[in-house]
Amino acid sequence: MNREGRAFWWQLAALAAAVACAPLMVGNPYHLNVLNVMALNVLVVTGLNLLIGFAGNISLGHAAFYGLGAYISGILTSTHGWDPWLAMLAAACVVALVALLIGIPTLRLAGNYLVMATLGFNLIVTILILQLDEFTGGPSGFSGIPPLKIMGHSLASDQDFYWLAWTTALLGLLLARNLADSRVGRGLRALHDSPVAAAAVGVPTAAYKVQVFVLSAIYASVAGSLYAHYFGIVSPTTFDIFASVELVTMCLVGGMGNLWGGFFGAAFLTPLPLVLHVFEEYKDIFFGGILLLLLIFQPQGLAGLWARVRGARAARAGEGA
Amino acid sequence: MPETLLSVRDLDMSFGGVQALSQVSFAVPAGRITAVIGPNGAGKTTAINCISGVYRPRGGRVVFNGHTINGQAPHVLARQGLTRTFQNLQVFANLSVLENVMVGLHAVTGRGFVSAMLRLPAQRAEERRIRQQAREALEFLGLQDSASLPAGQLSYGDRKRVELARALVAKPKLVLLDEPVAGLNPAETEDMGQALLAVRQQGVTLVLVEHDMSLVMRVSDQVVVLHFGRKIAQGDPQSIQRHPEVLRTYLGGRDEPIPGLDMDPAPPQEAARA
Repeated sequence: MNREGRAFWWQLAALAAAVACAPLMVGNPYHLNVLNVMALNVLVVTGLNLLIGFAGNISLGHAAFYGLGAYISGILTSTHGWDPWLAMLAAACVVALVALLIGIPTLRLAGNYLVMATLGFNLIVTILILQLDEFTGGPSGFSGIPPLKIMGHSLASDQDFYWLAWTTALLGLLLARNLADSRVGRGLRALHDSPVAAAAVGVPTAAYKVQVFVLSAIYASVAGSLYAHYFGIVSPTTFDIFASVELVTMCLVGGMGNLWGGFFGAAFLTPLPLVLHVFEEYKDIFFGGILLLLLIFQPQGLAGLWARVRGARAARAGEGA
Repeated sequence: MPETLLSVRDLDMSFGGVQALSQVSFAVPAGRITAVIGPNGAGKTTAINCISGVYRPRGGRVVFNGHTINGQAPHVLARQGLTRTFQNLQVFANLSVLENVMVGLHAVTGRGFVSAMLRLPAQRAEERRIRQQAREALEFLGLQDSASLPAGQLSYGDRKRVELARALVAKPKLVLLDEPVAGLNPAETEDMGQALLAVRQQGVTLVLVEHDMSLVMRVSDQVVVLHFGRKIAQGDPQSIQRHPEVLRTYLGGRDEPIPGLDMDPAPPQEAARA
């Protein structure tokens, strides 16, 4: 295994240890709830990062995929009595198909048409959720979604769901890293740098962009299904266009094209509104301000900042030796 | 004469009202170096782009290895053993030098998303093979010491060599080189010339578009001359140096051969991207 490979395993192990210890230090169930939402955001933003950071395409519709996962899971289990795990799988398949239908016409074109298409898509999904109220519950939301069960044990409590959410998030990170450091991952990063040169050595650029878009939508869908079964209720505003912007912000703040970007972005921005709850009304200004400052002073995001601090320390150690 | 690997027949290409290529035909023998030369705007890069699938020609045929390849996508052609380099450098700046060359093996490897994410045994074996072959290609071009550097940090000359390594690593049948020595100093140009001859030695067919006449005359087996989108001459380097129409084109009427003649080094303004 190469050096970066070993480093990744150490970092993942450190994160897993932190995840394992955190519940011992968190007494307040509400804080556990925040950590659970954070895990779901880590999952969505990690998927989004594969699209934005590796393939270089921006989606402003990921909250819609998140929402579709949540609503499809909710409706299939609550209205139609499906098993939650099966519903989660079905939701992921439907979302993958929808992403494929959006991706094929838009990603074949050079230029960022995906932004416009996904923006419109998110608006459509929000309107459909509001209008189809006999299926979706409309503006007041859809409730009565059963929790997930593992061998008859319900994962309804904050504590139980915590393990499921973070296991899934870490697994999502691991799979994303495996992809990034592979033939396909190199192909994606290559087409980000130079699409013509990537094609000239055999990278099917359009197909890869569509596939990574579908993959990132599946990440969002799985997180959405988990969300629905955890809270038992879903409402349209959670998945509107502003939520999509927040997800992209997390990705940029965390660090585009860095595997840990999704983690850092979600870990930093998920609890922020709660910490700053006195400024509730100014939340968007804070988000915007943070994004602006980071893009100016630290375009590699928080993950890049961390790497820079470590690099500086290594350099000092090197000078000392 | 060896068999023909690539033949271009009556190739036509136009952009708006501008006829970039008209009725251009030539054959590229396997295992040889063919140079395409001509003044700026002659249609050299357009010809490369038509052959490599970046442009779809308006008329004529491009036959590679016995198959007509008009309008086939570049990544499909790469799988058939046809690849290229670019006039304005196109290294993957954010990938390491080794990774750049590893991407070069894309056409001859096949593991997809699922097997990558799950690290299946077949994928790991393929990954080892990719790494090994890429290292060998780096050594061939003397780049092994820069393997782990981001390609964007290399000198211009080294980036040119990374591009060449990336194009060669998959052992293609034909490589189209768009100005391989443009912007290189004399020592680097000399190294590149040696590298091209070594590649030829391995049986790879090369087509190069180049302005550096001394290099063209030294390494080519065959020279094709374009002028305003038409082929005006074709032959071995010696006969091209004495060809009356070539002399007229380059020198405006004088008819003494000038070996090692350097033409306008500025790159022509043909877009390399579609």
